[in-house]
Amino acid sequence: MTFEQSLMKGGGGKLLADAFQRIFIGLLLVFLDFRIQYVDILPDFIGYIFIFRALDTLARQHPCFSRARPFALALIFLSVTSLVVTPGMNLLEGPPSTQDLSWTLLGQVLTVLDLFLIYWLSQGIYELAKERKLEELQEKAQYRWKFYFLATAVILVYTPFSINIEPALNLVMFPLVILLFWSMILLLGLVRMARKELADE
Amino acid sequence: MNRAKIGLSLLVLVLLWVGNIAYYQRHQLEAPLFMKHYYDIGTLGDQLNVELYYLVNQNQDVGIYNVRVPSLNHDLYPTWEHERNRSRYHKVKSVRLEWSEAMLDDLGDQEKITELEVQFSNGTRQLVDIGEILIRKIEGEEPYIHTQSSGGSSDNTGYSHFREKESLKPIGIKHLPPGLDPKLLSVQVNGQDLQGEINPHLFDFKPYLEVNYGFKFPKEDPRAQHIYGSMSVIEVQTEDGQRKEGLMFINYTPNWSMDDIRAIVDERRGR
Repeated sequence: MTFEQSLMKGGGGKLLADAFQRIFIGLLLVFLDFRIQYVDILPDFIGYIFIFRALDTLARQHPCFSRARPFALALIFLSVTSLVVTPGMNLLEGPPSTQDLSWTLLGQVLTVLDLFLIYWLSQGIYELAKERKLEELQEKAQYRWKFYFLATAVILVYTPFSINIEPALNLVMFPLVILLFWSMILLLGLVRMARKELADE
Repeated sequence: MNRAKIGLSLLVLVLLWVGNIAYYQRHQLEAPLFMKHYYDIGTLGDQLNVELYYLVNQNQDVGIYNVRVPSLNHDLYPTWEHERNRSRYHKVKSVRLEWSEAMLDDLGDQEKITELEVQFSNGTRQLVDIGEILIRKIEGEEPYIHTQSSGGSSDNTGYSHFREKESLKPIGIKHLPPGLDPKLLSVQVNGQDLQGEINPHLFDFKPYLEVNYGFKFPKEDPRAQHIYGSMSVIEVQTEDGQRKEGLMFINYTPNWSMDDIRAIVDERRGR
């Protein structure tokens, strides 16, 4: 049975709900970072695999989701490194070694790719909500993407400077890290809302 | 999605990284950098310790494996190493070197050390300029007057109290740190400022001596970043006219701020 046939028979709602559920789980795995010693017990690459597979389903609903797939695919491979190290830098630590610097640069690449992925995902939700005249979902998709983008962009711009700034001054970044965390929660809420409203249509 | 805006944003991000990495690299030392030490020290019994300070990059885990004194042909191994101050790019480390008895036997009456051949824990070797260290071999009887108490403070002042049963009069201080401009060190004996040499006529015989010292450098004077230390000798006269001696330690170790460390690196690089 094709996807379109499945939609005709009323199974589209379930497929959509499953896809958004997979995206929710995938994003949760990416956002959460629990480590035993250095090993990430919730690996990011598994999260991106969830997202990649869900995007395959959603791509039939709108081309925006299709555009997100190359970024998810690249992130699957690049984020394997985060299994044993944290790409990116703890801004509250001292200056980085050359090796830390390489990981920080990789962390920046991951963040940029992640921004593209989230953009096309939010845009896809926005377009689907627009087609179905779900104004609240439309607004939230726009607003929450912008919030996530701003919080991430500020940290992206600040990180290069952090290697030359006294560690004590890096504490000013603490509120921003909290804002970024909050924007992640809002994004998860958006996916949850999309699952409920778009799948019920 | 505006591709031109995205491209421009990514270009700005790359430029920010290039600029910051270049600025970061500019502060990195190619090799550890030794501070200048000006010590006049003597052997105490069969002991001789020297503490040296050096700068390394903050993210570098490098220490000293051993030190060779070229003029003496001896290898010295550190008894301990500590990290002192840290700045964003550098950290000051201190190392203590102890002479063995065999090495002390080979010492002449007075040795002058200005260079050391240092082997670092990463295997590299470097001939370093350490300033000027004078080592005197102190043999014979113990100092006539004994120190009752002595101390130093982080404001670069210190004191020594000598108390004896008989009355003494100060007549001189010998063996101050080498190369030290006397104007930078103020000394008071029994509360009286000394200008240059001690003039014994200014002093009375007293059953105690209280010697205070303080270092004071003009603002931004690079000499303030050097380390000074001496086992100085205070000469006294007893009431029956005999000349006697007592030991007095004089120390100056800067509390290097981040700006100081930057100034030292710039000075050595000739900026």
